[in-house]
Amino acid sequence: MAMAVANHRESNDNINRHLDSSGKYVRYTTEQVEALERVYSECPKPTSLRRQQLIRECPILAHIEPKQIKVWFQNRRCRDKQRKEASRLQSVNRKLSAMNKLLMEENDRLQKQVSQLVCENGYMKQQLTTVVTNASCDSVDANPQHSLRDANSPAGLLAIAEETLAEFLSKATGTAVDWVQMPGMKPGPDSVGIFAISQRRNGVAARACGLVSLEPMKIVEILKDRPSWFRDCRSLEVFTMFPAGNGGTIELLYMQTYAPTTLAPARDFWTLRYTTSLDNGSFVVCERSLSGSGAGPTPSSAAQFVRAEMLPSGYLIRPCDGGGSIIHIVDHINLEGWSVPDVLRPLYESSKVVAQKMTIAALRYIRQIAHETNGEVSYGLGRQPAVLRTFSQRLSSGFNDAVNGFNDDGWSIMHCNGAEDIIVAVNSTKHLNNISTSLSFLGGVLCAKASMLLQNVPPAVLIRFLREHRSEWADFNVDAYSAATLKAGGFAYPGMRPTRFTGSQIIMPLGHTIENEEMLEVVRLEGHSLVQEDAFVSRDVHLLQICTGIDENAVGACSELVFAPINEMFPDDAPLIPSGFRVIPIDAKTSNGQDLLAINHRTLDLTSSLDVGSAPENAATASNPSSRSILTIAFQFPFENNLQDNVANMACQYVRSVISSVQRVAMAVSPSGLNPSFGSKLSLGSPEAVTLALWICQSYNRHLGSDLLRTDSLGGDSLLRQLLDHQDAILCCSLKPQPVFMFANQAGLDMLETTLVALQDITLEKIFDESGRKALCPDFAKLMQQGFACLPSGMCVSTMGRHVSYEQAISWKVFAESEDNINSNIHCLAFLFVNWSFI
Amino acid sequence: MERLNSKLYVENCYIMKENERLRKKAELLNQENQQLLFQLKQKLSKTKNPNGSNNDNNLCSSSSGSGQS
Repeated sequence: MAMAVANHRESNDNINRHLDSSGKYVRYTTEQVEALERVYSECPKPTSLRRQQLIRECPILAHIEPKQIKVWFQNRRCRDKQRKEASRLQSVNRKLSAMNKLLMEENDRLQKQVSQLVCENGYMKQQLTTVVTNASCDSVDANPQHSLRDANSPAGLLAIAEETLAEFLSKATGTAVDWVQMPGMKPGPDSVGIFAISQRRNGVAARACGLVSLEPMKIVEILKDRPSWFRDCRSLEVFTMFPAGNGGTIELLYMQTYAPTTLAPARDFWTLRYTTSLDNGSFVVCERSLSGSGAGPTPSSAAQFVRAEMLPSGYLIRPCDGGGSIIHIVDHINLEGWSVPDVLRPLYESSKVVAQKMTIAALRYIRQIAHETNGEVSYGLGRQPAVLRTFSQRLSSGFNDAVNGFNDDGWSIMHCNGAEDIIVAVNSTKHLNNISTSLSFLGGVLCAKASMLLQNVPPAVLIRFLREHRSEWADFNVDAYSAATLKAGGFAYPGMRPTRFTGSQIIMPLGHTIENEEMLEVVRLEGHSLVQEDAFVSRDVHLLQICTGIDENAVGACSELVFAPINEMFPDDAPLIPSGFRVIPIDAKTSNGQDLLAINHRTLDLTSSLDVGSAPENAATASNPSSRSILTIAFQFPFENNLQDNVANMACQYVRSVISSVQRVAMAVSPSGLNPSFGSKLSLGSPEAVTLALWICQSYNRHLGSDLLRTDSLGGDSLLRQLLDHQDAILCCSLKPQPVFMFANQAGLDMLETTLVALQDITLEKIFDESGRKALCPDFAKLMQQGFACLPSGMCVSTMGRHVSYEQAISWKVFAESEDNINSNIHCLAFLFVNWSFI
Repeated sequence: MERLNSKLYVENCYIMKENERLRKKAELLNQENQQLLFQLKQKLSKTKNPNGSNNDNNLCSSSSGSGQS
């Protein structure tokens, strides 16, 4: 290497030779260069001290002047810089050339398009001026853009098919849609260009392009089997199929897709699919919706599907040398977002969502299959990847079935609990044909589900937490109940198997997709029998679980945690009744065609290393600080005959408690920490707080006969303010079996060293130690009996563990005062700690 | 090399402008075409029904009522 560099410049290139003692230029020997390079790799810029040391220690370099060494290092560094610069320029050049090529192609296409339009234009003008006869009537019909499209005849369908092909191709490799790079994608060999809702058309579109090591025919086969890779696809039926010249086929399809939340209905499609091959050896599968009602859902489910439209989309597969293929995927659909609630609309009008759910999912799936076919996947617990994938698909579709609750699956709604909008639906076993018939003893399955809005919670973070800290939100006994109910025979009544759960879970991974966006695992909940004789019998409960979207590199995709109880042997055909969580982020601003056009024309996606102009800005993450997501929860409970109502109540309560746990977790993991989504409604100044303050004072007066606060003015705000500023600690706790604090004035917060938001985690018991609790008992009884109690001086503990002593404590029942003061309901308990201080 | 890069960049910009112009032109022409087609269809229906009954002038309709049985 050193020898190869030309030596014509003395001053700048003394990296190969140096002046020796006689003043002549002498080459560095290979050993010398080696030694120097070695040092350089460790320390490219050695100090003079280091250099001297080097000369001393290294005999080979002994006869070189220190100055020469210095110069050598200088030149070496310079050479590095030059090399870097050169490679940088080269890469910029490559990008620019690629961009150039693309632009030229586009230019070509546009010119052709314009010339064709001009031609048609002229033709029509001509037509208008001539006398119109029957003959010219036919020729008008032959106008390519508006030809009669008779969807009832094969010839008409073929015409539609050809049109679809042309439109699809213009999107796949052309610029019929203004494609913009998807924000957040890692740069790589694939391009996922997405979106722009172009001005003329409706709907959203996504496009992906990638290289896969599979044969084209195999890819066509996989992609046409949409339910296998498109998790949201419930069913795909081929109604007719007929050949279409040069080996192609035309099919009429009816497809149903699940709704992702419980807030809007599912969508279905009636489409024509055209499979053919092009002259250049590529294969094309393209598809678009047909007008008219076509096939549809069964009458019982008709109201649960909204007809959506697929604009020309499809797959272009070009075989490569060496057995692989280049795939171009285009998905362009209109999900009729106008009919969904405002808050959900961004989900139905987002190209990013389409890209993730369909386009990228398809590419990933194909890659996964390619990987498996090439034998590069390790088997988890001895199961083949295909088997594991079946489990994962069944869990997904089971969860989707629960969330959607289609009538033709046998679901019917029991009741909607208005308070938290929990929907309860029931399904009797005779319809559960996806579960093995060994469950005939079951009365059926109950499902409790709800969807809600979360703010400022990154989906991946929330789901990761729920997965890792199951004990924070789940009641393992409920899982045990479901598991036991499913066990064949049904003689094991869950109630007769008391189990104590340690609260810990062990996660055993089964497998994951190559890009880590989905993991399949078995969760073991450790349990021990509480029955003395069975003390050594393990009552572990096993769950089969999939977790998606928690990978750090997940590009803002939806995150899910879905699990189902399973026998520990987990046979391939084990019945699965899944439950779980799905969190979908909503872009605050829907991608605006105008904005993205502007970005595109700053040409900086490909040439980001050129610092020309401002950095590319992403319209979707513009000025909106808070991020929103929709959380959908669905829990299924199998129940035995006669126990339907009991289980329904249990289900409702359980889901309610899960929801409040999740809300608590959401607040805790929210980065700002200051944005309670559903939490304490008792923030300062809220009407609830004002009313509560009023009730506290009134109840105090009622029980103890004197005024809590100095002034008696019932002017809302001022009362609340005085209460909050009161020097004694005033706290309120709810009246549950485990009383939890729900209000505190500033002194109370200081005493417990906590915040209003975290207050709800603190139970009454927690602030007292053993002796304190013992002392509290009789007083508590008195409190409940006569409505108030005066506690003597004592001690309590803050959340930080500091001890607090107080002179006196008073507690009383707070009533939600009604007008007549007679029919009041007890709202909560209040505590007043007089003269408290830290020890 | 740097010169080459700059040249390419400038060329790209130029092509982009050109493409934009072509796009606009295509849009315009398309609109014009739609209008012309509409006029044609009207003319067609007028000559079929000289009594001037109101035919369906929906451009995307697959049946133009042009005497098909």
